[in-house]
Amino acid sequence: MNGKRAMSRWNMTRWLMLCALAVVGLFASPSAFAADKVVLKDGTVLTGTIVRETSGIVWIKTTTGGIETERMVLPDELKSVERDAGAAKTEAPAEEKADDAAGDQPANGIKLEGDEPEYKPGVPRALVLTLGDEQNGHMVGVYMTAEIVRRAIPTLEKELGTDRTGILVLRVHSGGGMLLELQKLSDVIENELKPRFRVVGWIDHAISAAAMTMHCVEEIYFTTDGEYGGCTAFAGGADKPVEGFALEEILYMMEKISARGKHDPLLMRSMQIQMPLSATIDENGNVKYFPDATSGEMVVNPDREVLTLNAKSAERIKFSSGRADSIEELAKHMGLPEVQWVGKRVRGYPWPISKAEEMQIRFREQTKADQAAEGRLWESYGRRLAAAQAAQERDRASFVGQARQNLERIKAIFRNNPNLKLLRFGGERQYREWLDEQERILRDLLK
Amino acid sequence: MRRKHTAAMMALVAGMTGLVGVCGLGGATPALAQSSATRVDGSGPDTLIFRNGNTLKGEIVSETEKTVKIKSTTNGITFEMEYPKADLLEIKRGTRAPESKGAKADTKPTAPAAAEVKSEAKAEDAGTVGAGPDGTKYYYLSLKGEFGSQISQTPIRDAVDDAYKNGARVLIFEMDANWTQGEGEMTQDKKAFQQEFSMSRAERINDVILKHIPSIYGSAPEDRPQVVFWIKNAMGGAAFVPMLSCDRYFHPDGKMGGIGNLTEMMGTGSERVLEKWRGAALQTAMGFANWGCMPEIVIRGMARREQVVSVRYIDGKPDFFEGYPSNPGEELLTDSGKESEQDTIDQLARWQGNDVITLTADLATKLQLSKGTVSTKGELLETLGLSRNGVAVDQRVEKIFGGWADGLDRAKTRLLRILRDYQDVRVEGTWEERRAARGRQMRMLDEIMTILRQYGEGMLPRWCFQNGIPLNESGEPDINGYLNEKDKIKTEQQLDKR
Repeated sequence: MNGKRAMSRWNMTRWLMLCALAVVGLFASPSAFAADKVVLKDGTVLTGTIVRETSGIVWIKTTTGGIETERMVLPDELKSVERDAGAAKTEAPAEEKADDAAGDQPANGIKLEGDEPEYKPGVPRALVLTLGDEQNGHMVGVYMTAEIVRRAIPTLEKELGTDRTGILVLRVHSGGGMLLELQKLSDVIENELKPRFRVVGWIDHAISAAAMTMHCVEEIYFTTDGEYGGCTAFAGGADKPVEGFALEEILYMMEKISARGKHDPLLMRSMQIQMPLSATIDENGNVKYFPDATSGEMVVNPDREVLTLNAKSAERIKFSSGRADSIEELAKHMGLPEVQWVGKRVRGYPWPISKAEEMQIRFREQTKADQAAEGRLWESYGRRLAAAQAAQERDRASFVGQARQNLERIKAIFRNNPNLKLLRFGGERQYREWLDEQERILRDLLK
Repeated sequence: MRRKHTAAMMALVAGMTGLVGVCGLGGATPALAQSSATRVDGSGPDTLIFRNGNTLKGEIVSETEKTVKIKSTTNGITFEMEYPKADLLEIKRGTRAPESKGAKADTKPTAPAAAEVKSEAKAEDAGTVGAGPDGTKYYYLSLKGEFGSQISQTPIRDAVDDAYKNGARVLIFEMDANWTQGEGEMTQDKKAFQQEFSMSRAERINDVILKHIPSIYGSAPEDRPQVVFWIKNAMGGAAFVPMLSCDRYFHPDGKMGGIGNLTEMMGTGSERVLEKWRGAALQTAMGFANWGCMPEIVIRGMARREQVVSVRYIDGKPDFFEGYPSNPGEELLTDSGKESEQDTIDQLARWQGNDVITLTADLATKLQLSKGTVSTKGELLETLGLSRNGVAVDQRVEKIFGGWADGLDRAKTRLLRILRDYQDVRVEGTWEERRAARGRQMRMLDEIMTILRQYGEGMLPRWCFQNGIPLNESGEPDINGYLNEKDKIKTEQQLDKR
């Protein structure tokens, strides 16, 4: 066999194989048969395969120009969903799925299946909404955001009612985070939650920005191992405390937030700077604070230290109204002889899981998975883009397609949690500029 | 044309990666959206038969409408993987005892197998069984080994689940952590002057006691089991665990402390920022101590070298105060540790230093921070009133902790071998040889990730660092780095032309 004929036969075989695979690929394409329709409020209709739904958020896979993209649609954007019940659901490639399990799909997603009780009319309803958790994440601004709390409000109104009898327990577990989120969070609690519900803080672990966020709440309870404080602002490392005018601004912001929660501003101040604090409780139970360690009858914060309260010390100065390690104990402290806890009982959770709470858990699960996958997706995108740029014309479209898939997943990450743009790009504008540039590059590669 | 070509290439990639995936431990199987046939027969282990012909034997630990989770062992390493039923041709089930209620709990590798459980109490009764006609059921957990490695949250949680399933109302934790440094032959006892305020692992273990126990037993005080600690060695991070219960007993040689470097451990920088961190860490420890009847000033004396603490006794009760003794009957517990007050080597060698508080059996008893000193387990059970009327329901506990420790050892050995082998793979030769080499690399990466997912928590940062295993921000092995490496190999393969 001469070389030319052999090459020709190899090419023919290869071509036939590719054609066969093309047919397989076409059939395997998620939108080849799919006819799910997601109609957005702005009139856009997305046709493809709904691949996931949770807490009102819908992920739909569509194909445009042979390129698959996955779009996440938030409840605010969504008008309606039309499902094609007969459409065959196709699975992601096995390898991709296996990697996703530890990547950009929540791994070991918590199963929130359980029974929801029937609610009696006339009995106040309460629910626990967690801000941060140990399993998924708790950084303020990333896992504990104003946006996800705000997204839950319509659901909260359905679950707790709109007659202001509903009790919203904000259970905090966070070691702090981004300072710029705390005013937003405080505003959501003050302006949007408090007018609607009786808002209660249940402190499990509230350090730094988490404590500052909760300081607008008047009614506070602690778990036995709860702590609250350590609100010193710094940038990056221990050698970069916020100083001067910027520090004064933060101190002033917290004076105003202290007023919202009806807390003496000296208390928060001693959590922010090394200010000693003592207190005296008068015969009527009123607490008077002194900005030194000697004037009051009890030392709240010794010299040179930055204050963090624990369950006992918080109770002693009446910042905490009691210690509760279960919702039953909490209800007792709140003076509720009868209360209905909204949500379904789920094994492994010490309180019922409401739909609003499920939204928070899912958001954190997704954010955790996204954060874990983001760096990898980023590098993968860069590799595929470089491959597309280096590839010969016949192979380029494939690599562009793969790069675009990575890009769509990166976009989905930032849609789920817009605050992640701040960490990666520094802001919305920079993100937009970067995205436009990438879209242009990918378009040009296919010209 | 371009569209078809793209689809073809994507299908090609999917096919290739699928092929790689089925061979690796962590790899899934090629997915085809069809329902699977399920058969119940046979004896011995359960067997999953995949559509691509692969089989996997093990024990099905959970199952939903769409997925099945199986526990299996390969190369001596136990792992659990969940597979879509769509990928399966058949499920062959081995014979076994009926599944108990408790076995539905989410568990990790050492979770009790339904077939193996010899329960004293029926699972349905679990959590509601108190002292029955045959006495109080208790569960004894011996926490031995390196804290954060053999003593880790997963086996403890599994043991607690087992205790619940068997109706235990008293959980006894014997804390006997190695207060050692170094690995293997280099291991030696740490000394009295070595302090390690290391709380991260203790927080996870304490979560099992503070959060997991109420979540299965019930959160009302009457539902929770009694938690008892018997301290042999609770130094360093291990000291934070027995802080959780007032029912604390000491062995005559028992020690609790070694956390006295809080002031120094935060490094240098702005005192204000450092104080923020110190305060938060101290109060987290205080949170634990609030459960365990330990006053804040004692925790301060254990954690901060500069803290001066003394004690006097009022009506026989200890009254701790900050500062030096100034009246008869007052005793110094810890001085400032500065200059002339710094502990000397002869004091430290005899565990008599007082720069920080280290609780010994005698001191803890004197300060009423211990309920008693007992030399043996039998004596402890006697003290607790369990030696005659108690019923031990901890038949599986050794298997749980032994299984974890053995699995961890094997996982570490296997991991090091794969990492070495990985370095030896040469991607060279013909296209087929290069592809095969990359396939080997990806299978190795799959196996590395499976091991790390199962046993990563027991691999201490020091060991990972010594063996070139990258760590994430939480100080745990970073699986993402391996995922990234795998993606890189995939791209290289796609770019590689015949």
